[in-house]
Amino acid sequence: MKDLVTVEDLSIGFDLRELVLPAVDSISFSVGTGETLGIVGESGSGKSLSARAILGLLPSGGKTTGGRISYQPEEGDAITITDLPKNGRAIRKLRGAEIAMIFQEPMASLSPVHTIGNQIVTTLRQHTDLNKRAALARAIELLDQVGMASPAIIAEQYAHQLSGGMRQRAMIAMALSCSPRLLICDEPTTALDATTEAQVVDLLMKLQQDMKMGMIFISHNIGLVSEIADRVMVMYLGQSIEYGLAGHVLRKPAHPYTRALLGALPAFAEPGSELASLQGAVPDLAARPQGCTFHPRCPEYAGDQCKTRIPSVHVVANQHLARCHIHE
Amino acid sequence: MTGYIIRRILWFVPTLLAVSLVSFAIIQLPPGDYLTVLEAQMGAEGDYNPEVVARLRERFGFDQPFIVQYGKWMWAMLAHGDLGYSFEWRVPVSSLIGEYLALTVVVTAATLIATWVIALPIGIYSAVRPYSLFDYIATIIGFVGKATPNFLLALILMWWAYDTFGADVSGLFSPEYANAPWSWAKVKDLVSHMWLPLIVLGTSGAASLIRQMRANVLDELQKPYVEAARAQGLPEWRVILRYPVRVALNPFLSTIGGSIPELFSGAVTTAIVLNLPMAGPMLLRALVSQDMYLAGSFIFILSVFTLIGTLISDILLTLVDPRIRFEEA
Amino acid sequence: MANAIPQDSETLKAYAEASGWRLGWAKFRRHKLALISLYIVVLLYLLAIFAEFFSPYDHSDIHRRHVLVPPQAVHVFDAKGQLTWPHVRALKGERDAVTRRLSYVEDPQTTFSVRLFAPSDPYKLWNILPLETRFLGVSTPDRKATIFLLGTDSLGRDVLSRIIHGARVSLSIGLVGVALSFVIGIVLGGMSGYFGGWIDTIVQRTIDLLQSLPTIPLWMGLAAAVPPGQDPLITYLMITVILSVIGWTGIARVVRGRFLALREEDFVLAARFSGASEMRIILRHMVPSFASHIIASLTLSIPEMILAETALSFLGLGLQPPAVSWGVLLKDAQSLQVISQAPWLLIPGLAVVITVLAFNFLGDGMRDASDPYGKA
Repeated sequence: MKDLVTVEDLSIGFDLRELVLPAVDSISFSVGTGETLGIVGESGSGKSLSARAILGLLPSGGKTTGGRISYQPEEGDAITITDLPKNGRAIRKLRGAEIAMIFQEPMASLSPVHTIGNQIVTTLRQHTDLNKRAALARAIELLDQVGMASPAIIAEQYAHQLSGGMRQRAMIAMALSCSPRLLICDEPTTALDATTEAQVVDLLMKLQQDMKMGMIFISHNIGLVSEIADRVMVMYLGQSIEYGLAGHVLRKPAHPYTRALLGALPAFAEPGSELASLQGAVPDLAARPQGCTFHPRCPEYAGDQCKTRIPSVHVVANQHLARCHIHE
Repeated sequence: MTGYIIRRILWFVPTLLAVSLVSFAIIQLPPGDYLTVLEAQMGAEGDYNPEVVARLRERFGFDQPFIVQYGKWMWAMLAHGDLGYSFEWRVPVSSLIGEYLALTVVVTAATLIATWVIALPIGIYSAVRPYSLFDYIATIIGFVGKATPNFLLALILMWWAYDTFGADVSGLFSPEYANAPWSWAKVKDLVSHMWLPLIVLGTSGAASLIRQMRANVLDELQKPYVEAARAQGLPEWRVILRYPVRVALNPFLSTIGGSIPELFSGAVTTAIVLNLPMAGPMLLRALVSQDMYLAGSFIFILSVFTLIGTLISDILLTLVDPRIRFEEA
Repeated sequence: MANAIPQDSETLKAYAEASGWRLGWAKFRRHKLALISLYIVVLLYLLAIFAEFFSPYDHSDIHRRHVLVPPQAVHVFDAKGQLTWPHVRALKGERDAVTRRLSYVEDPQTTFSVRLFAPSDPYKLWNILPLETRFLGVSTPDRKATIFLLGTDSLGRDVLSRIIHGARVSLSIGLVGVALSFVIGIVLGGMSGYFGGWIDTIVQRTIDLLQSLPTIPLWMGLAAAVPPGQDPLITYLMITVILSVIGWTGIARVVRGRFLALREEDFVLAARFSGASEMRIILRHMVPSFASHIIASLTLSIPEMILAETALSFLGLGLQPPAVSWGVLLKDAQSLQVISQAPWLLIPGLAVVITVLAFNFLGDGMRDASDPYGKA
């Protein structure tokens, strides 16, 4: 199986003029056709940035400071996304058409002044030769596909007239309009209630199978990711601290941080034990701790080396990597 | 939405009444009336005739209480379109002010359009490239434009034009057309004279529009839907025009209503300085000589124009912004 | 990116204890233009307060032999090109044989040194304090020694002195007008926002009406009603009242908006539940929380008043000579003929623009600083 997207040693920083503040530090991962990669981390871990870099959509001031991202189109040679000019024609041909993205807040991510149908039609016409009428028909078909009860009416409505779940379905319809090969979901269910969340996740999984898409699913909720992902990457303060097959990572977490995250979930905790909770909060990027960035909060603190030395990546099992001194 | 528009239009009626009352009250404020001015004049010329004055006073009802005078004025206006009599010009007001008001409306409307055409692109570009050289220049011009009173700008431009072209550029018509009947040539002449009043009237408005548009677009550019639009693969200029600019236009439209009173105000002083055949100079003269019906009619009609302008802009806003449209429905 | 949060406990404590005003001031100081504007405004008011001292001449001094003199240059090089003490040169009037127009030429041989704190004819500061020194002047009592840095008007009065004296009216009318508008605005706006209901409706409709009227025609109408030939002080007060007729509406809107927002805030509810009286809630809890915002709005409405007075006086409907204000001065520059002959008569306009700009920047800076949630 050929990988759709390969990210190698990617680093991203924020240019603050006096200095470049590192936000993502040398991460690597890949996603293949029909495969789902879950990226887990607290806010500020750099998970959204990494995903956005694939679309060349870093926020202002953000730039890749190292590494490369390459995309393998259906035909032809691989494209090195990190080499493409910002917002240029080449990257735009990928956006929405080959690689699509779903955002965290459907309300804020849909235009407040255009109808749902209008927004889907815009994407369609950007990447296909469909005329207006055909594009609208396709838009209604897509809305039907994502489970909207009366797609023709929804197409005429504005974002503020829909419920949260319906908005996210509309976002999905928009993202899938040009049958992308890779779908990036950035916390797509965070703004939704639990029931709607389950429905949207089911829908995403079903659509992924139907369309044989690769998918990157970003979430702070490791439990949710465990349901969806084939492989999981756990991020902390811009670093990938654990990476491996979902089964391995979830059953035998190799990094104290992953263990702590899982320990906070009833489904993964030891029966009869208390639910663990992580001490402290994620430090500011500007105040990144020395040594292992996780050491001030680490429940398995292993002495001075954690404070002074940056841990290297260790292979703990087949296709299972972790960045922690305890594996030395 | 229709309900809102109907309510908005219905509200227009009491507002009009209030405005007419205010206008009439203002012109009644000065001590004395036109006849006092006339008496003084006659006294100066040595042919003071108390009988004539008394007869005139009775004819125009100056000895009656305020509310009766107001009632008569309103009634004549509503029933016969009669705005009263100009004592100074000795003709009915309605035969006098038509063209002045029409030119006022033409010039202010042209200014409004010109302001938009100029301010919008500048504001958008400033927002897309904030803190660039262009943005700084636009910002400086914006602030200075807002701080310069219309009449001062008019004086400076008039002086500059005189210095550069050696010609007096005031007025709205060349001498040969000033009193000529309307023709295509006269319209062309009007257009060729319009640039100066347009710059004078438009600068301060354009300045604040640029600031607002810049702020609005900057706000909108931060919103997630802009990133979502980029993720759809739209070209950058389409992303900007289609989403943030489109959204930023809404609060912007609501400023038209507010800018109309300002524009009419500016038009009055500008017309006086540039000697334009518009409402300003005549209103000033009427106020000074206490030609009350003429002054009152000007104040009233200018106010009505502003109210109509505000009404139209409010209705436009509801039509354009789907959020308002449905909230109000 | 958030600023690094101070780590040591002392700084943190100081941070937490700094009052809103001090944080605001710290924020304001970072706004360079606003800070500069603050200095300019203070300077302008000092000039206005001590106008007699700072102006080289009295505003009504007539120099018959120096009518429509263009701005006089201060030279630092003498006739031979040597660097010397700053000096002005004597002016000689020459009448053009054909046009009969008077023009002035400098006589490089007759020079007078410019002096700070120069002795002058006796005058009285604020009509009380007798003084014989002015901030700027020429050193000799020689009649030919003149210093008209911004030229003279058609009666031979020093334009700079008139601008400095005019600042008194122009700068104070903004303050007085805003103060008056503020009183009306805060009472009506506060009532409107606090009580709501029909009071709110009436006040709001009145504001709508007043704001939708073209101000200049309205002001013109009202100003025309001020009887001419009155004591300038009365005219002055009448004009401020007229300006406040519209001016209060903006302030009332702001006050009302703040009241509406605050009425539902938790700390107001908390105060109410703990049994505080309405008056106490308003004065102790609500007013302090929006005072800074109101002050910023007030600052922004001062320049509007200044512009309005200037326009009215310019049209001849505001203050009348012999009173001086910047509008009155500009009235002298009304026709193209005058300007093309003596463009320096437009300089009072520059004073207006600088003042209005300074107030606008100042107000902007204060508004940004007063927003507790705004970006630093």
